[in-house]
Parts: sequence; structure tokens; C-alpha cells
Amino acid sequence: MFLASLRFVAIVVLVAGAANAQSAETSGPWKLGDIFVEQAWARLAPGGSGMGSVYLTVHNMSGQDDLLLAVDSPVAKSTAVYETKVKDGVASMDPLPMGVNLPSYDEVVMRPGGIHIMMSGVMKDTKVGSLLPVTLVFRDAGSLDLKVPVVPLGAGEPAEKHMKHPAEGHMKH
Amino acid sequence: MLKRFWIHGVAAVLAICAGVAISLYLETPGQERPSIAIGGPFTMVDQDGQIITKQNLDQTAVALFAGFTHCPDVCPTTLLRLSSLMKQLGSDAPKIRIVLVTVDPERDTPEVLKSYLAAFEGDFTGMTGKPEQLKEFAKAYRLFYEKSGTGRDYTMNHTSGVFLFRKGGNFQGTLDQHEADDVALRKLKMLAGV
Repeated sequence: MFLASLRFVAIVVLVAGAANAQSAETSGPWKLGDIFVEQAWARLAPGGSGMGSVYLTVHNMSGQDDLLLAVDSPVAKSTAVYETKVKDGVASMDPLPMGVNLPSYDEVVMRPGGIHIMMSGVMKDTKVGSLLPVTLVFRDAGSLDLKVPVVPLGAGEPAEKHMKHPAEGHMKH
Repeated sequence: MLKRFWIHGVAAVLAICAGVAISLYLETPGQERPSIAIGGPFTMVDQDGQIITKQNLDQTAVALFAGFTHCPDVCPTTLLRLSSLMKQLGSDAPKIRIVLVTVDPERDTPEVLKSYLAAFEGDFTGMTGKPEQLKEFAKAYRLFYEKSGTGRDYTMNHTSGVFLFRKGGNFQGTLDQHEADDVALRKLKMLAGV
């Protein structure tokens, strides 16, 4: 009962937060069973390298842990989840081949300098203002298709602006 | 009870004195502090294909960091932050030269660096060179880098901090990506000699 009411409150807060986020250049929320995805945005590395990254927040509102197994996009040669880490003053970007764990009633915030979806060989006609098609594949919940806006460089990392929201109080690092 | 109060009082006064002494020591500019030997002779090229040496670099204060253009996450973040900090520095910004040294000279030619840097607001210098020139530079400037992964999709691991050098080439310190903007600004103002 407690969990059920907690879940209700969390979803209300989540939807309110998402409505609030609409003004920023993010997309979402999407719902897949008890998985909610919101505040999705993407940017392309300048200079024509064809590299891009996607940032979003995944809430697992079910009583079971889930796993983000794979990510894909038809407009990139390769799409994978990476984690930027700084250890002993050295920044590295490591793939997460085992997927991203999504604990029950918790969330994973992807943002610059942390976990993110990295794309390489992004098709040339993808530019600022485009909607990037991205598919997230969850172990239990199934797969979810997103359209993620490509924001201008330095658009202020829109996801960061909403991090103080109560629904996002328990970030995973 | 009174005795304990005394001990705490004395400890507090000592701590404050130590703090003031340390901050005075740190604020004392230049000559009295031994300079940390970071940097040395090098020859690289900038994003316009012009040769750049230590003599060129030492003419102004410099904020230097390692990166590469095939980096979608951390490098744009560092550049965007520096761009925003320089904007906040206002009229003192031209006193500091922001330098991105690519650790991926294989892909980052001067042309690639130029088009990459053009996307950011502000005046940035890009540096690249032959792999052995980079190796020499990195050794002199204590920058670490290594290739990670194989094939076309490799990435580079590299030193993440921004190194600050005073005009003349003396090492002042570093900027850390997690520190607050006002701390970073204070360091940059000190670097600009404001």
C-alpha cells in the first residue's frame, strides 16, 4: 500500500516535472509499462566527426529491477551506452557492455560527463533541430522508440536545469 | 569545563592563523613561490597550420587542456564551460589564451581542429602535430593520453584538468571540472593578473 501510494505520488511529480521541462529543448516523457523516459536531448560534436551523444532520464517505477540492454539508431553507424569517468585526473570513456542497471523505484540520469548514449557515423543530414530516432531495449519492459531533439551546442544542457526537481533527488552516479 | 573551553579557543585561534598564513602564502604572486617545472620546448602547429612553439605560448597567460574532436561528451562540455567562464571574465578575457591540445593527431588535422573550434563562442587556439611532436609536448607538459579501443571507433583517454600557465610560462595551477564557477573565475582572474 505504501509503495503504491509512493508510486502514485512519484508519477504525479514526474509528469508535473516533465510538463515543466517541455519549455526546454527536450522530448518526452515516454511510457513503457512501468518505465518512464523523459528529458531526452542530443548534441553533435562539431567539426564533422559524425559523433553525437544522447542524454535522458529513465525512471523505473516497477517493483522489479530492469536493465537497459541495448540502444540503437537507424541514423548512426554505431550506437552504444558509454560512461565518462575521471580517475586519477584522466578522463576515459568506457562502454557498458553489460547494460545499465535500472533499480526498482529509482532512476538513471544520463548527462554530460557521466553515462550517455554515444553515436558514431551519424548521417550527414542530421543537424540541430533534427529529431534523432533512438530505440532503447530493456530486458523486461521491452523496447521503446524515442525521437530525441538535437539541440544547439551550449543550449545549456537542458537536463541539468531540472536536476533539483524532487523526482530526481536520487541520482545514480 | 573552563579548561576545555580554553583548549578549544586556543585550537580555533591557531587554526585561523594557519589558514590566514596558508592563504597569504598562496595569494603571494610569482617570485617568492618556487615555480613547478611543467612545460618545455616544443614545436606544434595551430589550427591555421602555423608553427607554434613555447616562445609563442609564453607570450600570454594560457589555459591549456587535452582533448580530441571525436569526443562527443566531455570535450564539448569542457570547451563550453571555458567559453562561458571567458565571457564572465569580460574585458580581461583577451589576457588569457585558451588552448586545446589534441591527443588524437591521427584524425585531428589543423583543418579539423579549425572547424571544431569555430563552433564554440570565443577565441580558442587548437594545437596538433606529428605523433612524435605530441609525445614530446605531452612529456614536457605532463599530459597523459592513450588510445582506447580499436578500429575506426577508437576513443582517447586523456588528462581531464585544465592547466593554467602565467605569462612567461610559469605553472599556476589547474581548473577542475567539478569546482564552482566563482572558484574557477578567481583562478582565471589571478591568471590574467587582475
